[in-house]
Amino acid sequence: MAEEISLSILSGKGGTGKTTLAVNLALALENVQLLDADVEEPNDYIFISPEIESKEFESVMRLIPEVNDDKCTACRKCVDFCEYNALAMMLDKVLIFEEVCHSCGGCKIVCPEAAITEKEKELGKLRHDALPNLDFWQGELNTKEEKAVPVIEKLKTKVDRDKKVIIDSPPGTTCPTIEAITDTNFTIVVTEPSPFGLHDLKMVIEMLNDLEQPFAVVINRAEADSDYLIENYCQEEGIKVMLKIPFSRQIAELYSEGIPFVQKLADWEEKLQQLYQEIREEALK
Amino acid sequence: MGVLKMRLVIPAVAEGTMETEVHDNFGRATYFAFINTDTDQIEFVKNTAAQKNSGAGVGAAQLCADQGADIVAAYHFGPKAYQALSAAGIKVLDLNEQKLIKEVYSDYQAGKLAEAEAGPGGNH
Amino acid sequence: MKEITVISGKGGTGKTTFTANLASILDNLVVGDCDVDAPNLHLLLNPRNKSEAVFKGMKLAVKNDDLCIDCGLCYENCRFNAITADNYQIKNLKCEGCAVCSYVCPTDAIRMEEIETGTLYEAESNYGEMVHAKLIPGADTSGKLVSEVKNRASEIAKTQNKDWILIDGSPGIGCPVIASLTGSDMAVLVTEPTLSGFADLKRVMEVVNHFKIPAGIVINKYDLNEKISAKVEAYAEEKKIELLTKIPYSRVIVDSLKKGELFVNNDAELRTKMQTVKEKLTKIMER
Repeated sequence: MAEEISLSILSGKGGTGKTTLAVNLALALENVQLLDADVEEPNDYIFISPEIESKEFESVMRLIPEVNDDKCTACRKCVDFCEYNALAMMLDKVLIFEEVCHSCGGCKIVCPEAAITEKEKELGKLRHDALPNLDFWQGELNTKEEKAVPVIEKLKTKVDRDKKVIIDSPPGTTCPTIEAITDTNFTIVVTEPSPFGLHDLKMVIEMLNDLEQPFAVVINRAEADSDYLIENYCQEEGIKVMLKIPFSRQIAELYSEGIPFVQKLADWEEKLQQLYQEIREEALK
Repeated sequence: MGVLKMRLVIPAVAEGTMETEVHDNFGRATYFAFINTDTDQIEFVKNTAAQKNSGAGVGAAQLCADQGADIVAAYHFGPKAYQALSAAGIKVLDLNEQKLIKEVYSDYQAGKLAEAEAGPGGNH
Repeated sequence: MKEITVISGKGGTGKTTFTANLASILDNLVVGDCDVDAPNLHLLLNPRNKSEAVFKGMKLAVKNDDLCIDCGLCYENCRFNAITADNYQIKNLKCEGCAVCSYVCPTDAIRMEEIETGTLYEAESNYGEMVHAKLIPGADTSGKLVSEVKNRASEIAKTQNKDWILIDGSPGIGCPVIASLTGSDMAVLVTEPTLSGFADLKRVMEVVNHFKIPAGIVINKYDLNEKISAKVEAYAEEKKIELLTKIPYSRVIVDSLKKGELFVNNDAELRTKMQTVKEKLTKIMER
């Protein structure tokens, strides 16, 4: 019974190699779906679907308050209620500041005159490219918007559990990251062998343990003289290091051009397929 | 032109006097100095808007409007603060090198302060 | 006294490494680490913390089960999926502190509590005073903590008559970056010659442009892709961004980082490059 799993890929900081792993792993597999949940700065498309901006998109909407000035009595209950300073009362008119509005609906509820209604505003977009072996979805947050979580929630509705699912998560330990990894069977944390890498790895692991999320580590830019920084720590904590992608100028140059290295370096396709099998075994335990 | 009692507001680093330093930010200023330009009297109001996580500029603008500000002079206005103050009919002035409140006040009286333009991200 | 904020748009371009090395070259400065999500500057500057202050960044809904009558109004009205459907418990990680549940609850069973979301540290390092902070996991990065770091750094600079305030800015393009740049005299952008780096550079420049402050650029690992590096240089020239320096993909930098050392202490050429950056910054700030 070939049960497919969903995998999230994470790092403590941007630039560690999350995209590198997500993209190359997705290209090494068959019947796979890659979702780029790094909605503030999605980058996977550069390697998978460079023309994705030309594809159709689905809007992700949110609700913004609208005040009917005829009904408004300038009582200020809405202004005083808002926790985010998204409303102000100037010269007896309500001003709305959309970017800091959290769409909680509170102002509408507290208004004693039913003077507040809500209108839809585009928060972000979902784009899709169905390639022969790879189903690619990208979530993006519109500039000036701050609330990534609703975009990631909508992106997750596109997950197809009949496929091998890979979610490229936003870096760090904030709410969007947590949203991206929740409901995935397993998480891979990408790190690098340096004091920065170790520090950020520990930070992420603390979060994963709080969430009781199963995980393992992949070391990117691995080098013989410094891998111990990560490996020693992982050994102490009983954490598996499943793969090491070596520090390689060639891989870095290919990345700079937007070329996935699995397409150019022969033996990596098999290595990544093996990685996936190992992850799947761990996840199904 | 008649003599109008104007309330001039300047962000301050602390509750003090005319010798107190100007805060380099409007929304997150610690206090606001309110000067009655008719009597030269000065009073300080705590900036409670700085408590909130976001939209400090808006909250600060609301506070100034509620306290009867006519003019606000500051180093930096975010686009929301600028929009809010303008909507309230409050004049918005730019500061450049002034360090102390009294320097701002004397420059204001000499007509040396220019009107501010909309701040960062001001195209919404 | 001049404030310089170093940002990058994309993570991993070398912003923090650059900032730390620049800090060791500038004299009489105070450093602020505004990357409060994943602060790394302290790993290179090794500050000794002198004081810490609790940061209360948001409110959370707290429920008193004794008063709950299971009406479910809180659950119906919560927009953030932060209340469980079966027994109306609050999911702290999802709660955004909007207070709607508290408002609609007919028995006052829910109240809003300010919670500690981070810590602000004041410290001393070999290169100057340093202010840094750390958010707890799950807490949302806000402009507020970034502003607190900047405010403290500013205060220290004023009382101790410092010449420079050097800020390691937040990555990305959102509110924390804007908070990092507010009140700064100049933005320094550290970028890398990759397609993704270039794309993110352009996006973050949109944010910088609104501040009407001079901008400088540092192309890190420039020889990794000289073609894209040249494109970045052309872009900088077109947008009137001063090219501060180009740093090669260097073994010395990688090894220094791994040992937690500053590369300016390990290579004379790199040190000279950073001295040139200091001279250029001084000149730009004098204009």
